[in-house]
Amino acid sequence: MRRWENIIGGLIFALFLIILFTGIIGFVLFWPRFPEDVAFVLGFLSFWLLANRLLFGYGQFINFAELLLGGSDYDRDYVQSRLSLPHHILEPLTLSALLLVWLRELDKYKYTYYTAFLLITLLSILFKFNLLGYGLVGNYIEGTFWGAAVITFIVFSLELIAHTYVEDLISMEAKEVANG
Amino acid sequence: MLTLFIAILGLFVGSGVGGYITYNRVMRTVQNIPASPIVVGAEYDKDNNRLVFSVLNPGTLPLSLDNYSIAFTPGESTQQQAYFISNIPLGITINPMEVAVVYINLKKEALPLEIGDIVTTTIFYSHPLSPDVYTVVHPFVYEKKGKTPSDTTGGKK
Repeated sequence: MRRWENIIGGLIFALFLIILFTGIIGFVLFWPRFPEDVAFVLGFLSFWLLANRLLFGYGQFINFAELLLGGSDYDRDYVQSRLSLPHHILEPLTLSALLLVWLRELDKYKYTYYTAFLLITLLSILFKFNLLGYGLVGNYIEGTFWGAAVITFIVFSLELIAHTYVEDLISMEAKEVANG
Repeated sequence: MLTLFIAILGLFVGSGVGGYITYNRVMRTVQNIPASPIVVGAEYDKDNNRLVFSVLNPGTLPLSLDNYSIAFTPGESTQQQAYFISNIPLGITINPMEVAVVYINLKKEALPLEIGDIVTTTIFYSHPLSPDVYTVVHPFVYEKKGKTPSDTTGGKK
């Protein structure tokens, strides 16, 4: 039953990717006819570069949390080796606390990314409402903003999912403690 | 709940991106469509025996008015015979969203216009994207001094 769900989910995800890459991004990436398209692609790629650590960091975290929620064993040394805090601080922590530290380690990348996105958003709004003059670069700034918005959407979704998984793991661990 | 929130957020982002790209593509395409000049005002200048047209270019491409021809249809009160003259050079370029004043000289030895005369002017124009020549036809009915029809369809009453 679980396997069929995975297969159907995978098919839906593949369909989503095909639509994504042939519809908007692929169309623009492989056939950028206008300077606005190039601005969009540049914003998309540069913010991807900025968010790469976050995308893969949250991706690995979500994979790990899903394995844990599925009830499989884990390697505590692997988790500790990912974190920058010293060994004697990490040693007495429970697994949920370790995962919270893991998420906390990604925070500095997260806020750097969100600051960059906030700057491009503010700039784009200023141009959009003609406070800096829309004429010359405003449209291209807006294209960069939309390219960044796609990446920000993915980062934001991954972050939300990761934090939800931590909550699930904490409640799972609390039940184990209660059951003794 | 979280999935729903993310899905709705994705819809917003996708519509924003698609709207931006589509808007710019449409704008680029529309900017390259040449418009037709519109005669927004026409008067008869009795002293110089000529028509004065105000011609608007409503588009985003400059239009060049190359030449014109006029066909004179006499009314009931005039002695002037019907005539047709063509290929009179103009050489006026109208920039986007501007109004040009165009003087249409009638035939030199012709009598001045009387009430009821009709002057049908054909202006030949071209735009920079195509070597073709287009026309706009303006029928001018001389009704009363200071009161003339001012649209391209003319006032045939």
